[in-house]
Amino acid sequence: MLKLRAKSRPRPPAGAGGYHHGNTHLIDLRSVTKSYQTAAGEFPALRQIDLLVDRGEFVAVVGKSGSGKSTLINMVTGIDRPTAGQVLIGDTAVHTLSEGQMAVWRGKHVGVIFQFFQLLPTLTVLENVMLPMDFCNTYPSRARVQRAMALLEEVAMVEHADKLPSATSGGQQQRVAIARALANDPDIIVADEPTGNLDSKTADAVFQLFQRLVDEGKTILMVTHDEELARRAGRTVTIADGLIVSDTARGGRNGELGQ
Amino acid sequence: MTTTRSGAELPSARASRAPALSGADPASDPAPIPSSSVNKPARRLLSPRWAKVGRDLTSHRMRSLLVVLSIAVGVFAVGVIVGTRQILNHQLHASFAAVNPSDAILGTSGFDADTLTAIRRMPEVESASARFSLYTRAHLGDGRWLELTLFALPDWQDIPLNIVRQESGPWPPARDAIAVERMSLPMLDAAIGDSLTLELPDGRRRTVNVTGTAHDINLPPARFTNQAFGYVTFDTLERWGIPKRFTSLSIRAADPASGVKDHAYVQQVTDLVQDKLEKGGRAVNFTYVADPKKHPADEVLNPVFLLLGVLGLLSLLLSAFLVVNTIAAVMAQQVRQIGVMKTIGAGFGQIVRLYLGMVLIFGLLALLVALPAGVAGAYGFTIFLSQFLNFDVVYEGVPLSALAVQVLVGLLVPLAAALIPIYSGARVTIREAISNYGLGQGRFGHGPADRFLVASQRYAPWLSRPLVISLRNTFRRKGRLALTMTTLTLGGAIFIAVLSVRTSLYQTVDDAIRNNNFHIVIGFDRDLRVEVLQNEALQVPGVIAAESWGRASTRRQRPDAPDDAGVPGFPLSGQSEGLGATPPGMRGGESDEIRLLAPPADSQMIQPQLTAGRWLLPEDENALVVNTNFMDAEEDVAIGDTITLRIDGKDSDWVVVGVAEGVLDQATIYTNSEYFGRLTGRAGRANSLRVLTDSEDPAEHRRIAAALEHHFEDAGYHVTQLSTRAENLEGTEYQFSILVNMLLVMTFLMALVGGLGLMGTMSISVIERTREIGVMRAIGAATRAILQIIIVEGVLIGLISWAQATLLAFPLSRLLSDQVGIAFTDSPLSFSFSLPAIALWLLIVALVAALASYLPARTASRLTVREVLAYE
Ligand SMILES: Nc1ncnc2c1ncn2[C@@H]1O[C@H](COP(=O)(O)OP(=O)(O)O)[C@@H](O)[C@H]1O
Ligand SMILES: [Mg+2]
Repeated sequence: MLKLRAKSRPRPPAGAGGYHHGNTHLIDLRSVTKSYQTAAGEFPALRQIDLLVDRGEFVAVVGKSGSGKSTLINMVTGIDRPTAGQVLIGDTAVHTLSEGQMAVWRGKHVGVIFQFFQLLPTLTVLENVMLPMDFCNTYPSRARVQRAMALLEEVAMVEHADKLPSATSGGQQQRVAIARALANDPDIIVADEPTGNLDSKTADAVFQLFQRLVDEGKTILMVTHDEELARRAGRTVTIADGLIVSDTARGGRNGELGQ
Repeated sequence: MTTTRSGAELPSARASRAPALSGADPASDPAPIPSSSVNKPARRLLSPRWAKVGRDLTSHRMRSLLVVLSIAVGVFAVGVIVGTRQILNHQLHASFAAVNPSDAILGTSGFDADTLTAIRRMPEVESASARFSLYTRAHLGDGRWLELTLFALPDWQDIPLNIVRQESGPWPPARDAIAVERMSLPMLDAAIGDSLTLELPDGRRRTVNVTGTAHDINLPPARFTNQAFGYVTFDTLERWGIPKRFTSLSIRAADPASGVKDHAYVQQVTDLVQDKLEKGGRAVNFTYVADPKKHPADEVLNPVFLLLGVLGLLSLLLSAFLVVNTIAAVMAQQVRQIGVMKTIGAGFGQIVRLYLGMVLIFGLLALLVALPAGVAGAYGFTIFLSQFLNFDVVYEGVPLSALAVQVLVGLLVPLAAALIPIYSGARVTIREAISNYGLGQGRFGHGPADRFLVASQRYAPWLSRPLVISLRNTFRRKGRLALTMTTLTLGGAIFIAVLSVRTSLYQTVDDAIRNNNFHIVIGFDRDLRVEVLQNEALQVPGVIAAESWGRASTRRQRPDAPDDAGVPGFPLSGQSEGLGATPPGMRGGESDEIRLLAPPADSQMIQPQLTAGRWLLPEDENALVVNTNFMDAEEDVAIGDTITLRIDGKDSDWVVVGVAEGVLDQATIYTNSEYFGRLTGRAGRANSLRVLTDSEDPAEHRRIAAALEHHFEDAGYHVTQLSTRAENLEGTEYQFSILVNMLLVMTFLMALVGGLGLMGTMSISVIERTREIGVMRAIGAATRAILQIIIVEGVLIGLISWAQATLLAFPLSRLLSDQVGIAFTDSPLSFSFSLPAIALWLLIVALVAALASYLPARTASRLTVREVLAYE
């Protein structure tokens, strides 16, 4: 049987308080503030945000354009660093990592999905999916092709494996991007408006894929403008002017309020 | 790098196990993968990231090609120069060592075999060789003569030093037969089996059969000195009434008991041998001391290689600029990709290695072209040089050290050049790369140049809109512009400078002519009355003036230097006392040979350029004007000094009144012919005549020379020497033309690198602006307008670089001309800036720029709006 999980990591039960930094949740943002220097002076994009997300949650982040959604999830991926506060993810204090440590950590623990797919244009679909394993040197090199094919299978893109991204549609590219995000079997998937560039039918398919991943135990943070989709996620966090103004959970497996 | 399984193995392996994600629901995805869609073994040869590098290279083929070619040209230039140096070092020096070169040569009035034996017995002399030489002239047909020096050897098979080898025909040559030195044969217009008429110094003519060729690596290149060399036996000479004797002696000094055998030591041994000869009553006319273990041509070759090497490195440097521009563009273009790669786990180091890998591939591809071309070029260049250096080039395999240098510079230079753009490009943060807060694509609008350009539109509304776009685009990427500009500017400045060296070389020849402004020299077998000679000459049509100049070979008798700085005593074997070298200027005794010329006081044939003092006045008696070459040799002499000259064995005192510029000249002093005639007891008589004609045409000079010879022979005077100005300058001009051609080849390479650089820059700009071009197209820009915008930008860069090149060319030309002069003629050339070169470079740079921007412009203008707007 093909081993798709990278390694078994210690998985303390939710709420048992077993993570290194005393965090009980997989994602624990503590009093996170982010300010940008602009011509008009200091601009606070996030103000003392606290957010707890448990393993297996599907969180939709909503809010107006410019409210700080991207900034928030960039804290989780380590793409951006907080001006103040702590970002604890699993056993890692993300805000303390150096740039190099961050790259290695992110590659293994977080899968990132962008609005514009961002597949490398000169690599085939299959190679795009293999690339994270190549960079992070996870999986023996001979197993990578098989793993990538399995992931493409999962997103129903196997028959396009040898095409260049430009030869596929937007929805297909986003599915490839999802497969790529899963390459190193991360616990967390972070997606910034993954359906923003897709028609509603395609968007729905992508959402269903996410739903399936959550069912398989992944934790997903997804920024979206689509209220309908947001409602279908387990939990909706609403941001306005850098503050979390509401955080609602729908009934279901993950029906636990973050705050 | 991770490589993977073989292609054959995979499809079955994959088809056999339908993979499932985290085993959630294996049953739900059992479909085997259709093998047709995945059976592409190629993708398994490289890991994805190296596949990316490969495809980035091939997806911009034009750009990659330009970079590779540009590096290849630089590496090729370096390879040819280092390779030639290596082959020469090996083969020339081996050929040279094989003839047992002497340490010193002494020219004498003549000595016999007993003297030779005595000298060989001297403990300080390891071995000695002797030769007889005779200056003759060979008839080339239709009245033309070429100086030919005949040599006779005491033993033809066993020559201790400066070995001459038989190349073809009998050796030694038979009676009345000549073996011609192989490089002289083509100059004689003769083939083996022909007969050759020689005229001996006394005017007698003898016919010899050319029966073979010899190889004598020690002789100067025949074409450089415009003279031929041949070998006859003493037997033949005796039949011509010339008694057997030797005139030149080559020696090798014995290894000193202690210390190294250096120039000073060899000089001391030579002095000893000279003493011995002189004590035996033989006059020594000249001595030549070689630098041990060096080929005489090294003195010329070293500066040639230095000069070519500098130009080669420069072209490599310029090609590195294109690497910088290209990689910077790649990094800018791929910001987003870098961001994505970082997002999915690529570290800074991985990104850096990825792009360094790309540069390494550029270098490797360039080496693929440059290595074989460099080896071929090195052999080609060596063969070219061997024509003058008179040695045989054999293929001895690839010059390894040159190869190593090429590999090193071919890989390191591009890598070093790319390091900065790659580092700064790879440093981009994901946020900068992915968000819209990232870098703009070239910033226009900041800085004074931009403000000026924006303002210019207000003040020059007549500028067309496309032209304004071109203007502003030019200044959009300032760093890139600066590098491209530097490439073109340096290329242009060197082009102009090399052509200026060329005009300076010819100017120098012209100046040399001004110092010796006559068209024909005739020599006679004895002293004749000057008036008679002049009258006869003036009867020949075309002759407008004839003068006789007194001539002598003299040596300055240096004032004795303080006490023990005199000629150092030679250490007897076992004693090393007094072996120290004495600086030549400090030494007492005699100077080297100096030429004394005594033109008539009213001479029309000399227009000296004085650097100090004054020229001779008619009433001057023992006044002297010395040339700068003399001053270089006798540094202690100043205007107003009295110096002692030994002429025909007698010492006389002279007062130095002026210094004249010596151009392509030897150490020479001038005095009035009348006083000189009286002093030497030859007043009113001379054995040579300088003739000025009414023409500047070398062919006409040749014709008049033949007419003069006829005239004098008919009148009963025997002509023994006849040459025209063109013939005398031929060798010098030939040497210059070789030098200029070598420089021009390097210049061509620089211009090539410059052109490639511009083309590379333009195609980078076009790639970057693809989207913009699409927008222009979408709003109705015609193909012509797009072509125009891009070409105008390219030509604009070309024109600006031309203006800069012109400015830089002035000091650079001067520097190069001075250095070339000092290296090859011992003094700076007569500088002459080449204005036509400026115009020529303008033409070249405009054409190159137009072509370099046309190709990318055409590509751009062919893109459809849809393609362009889809471009990422
Ligand atoms: N690099 C930056 N410099 C200055 N301001 C920024 C920067 N990045 C984001 N911002 C500002 O921070 C706010 C939040 O941005 P973002 O998180 O991207 O919003 P969202 O994703 O919700 O649309 C916005 O007002 C934006 O203008
Ligand atoms: Mg956003």
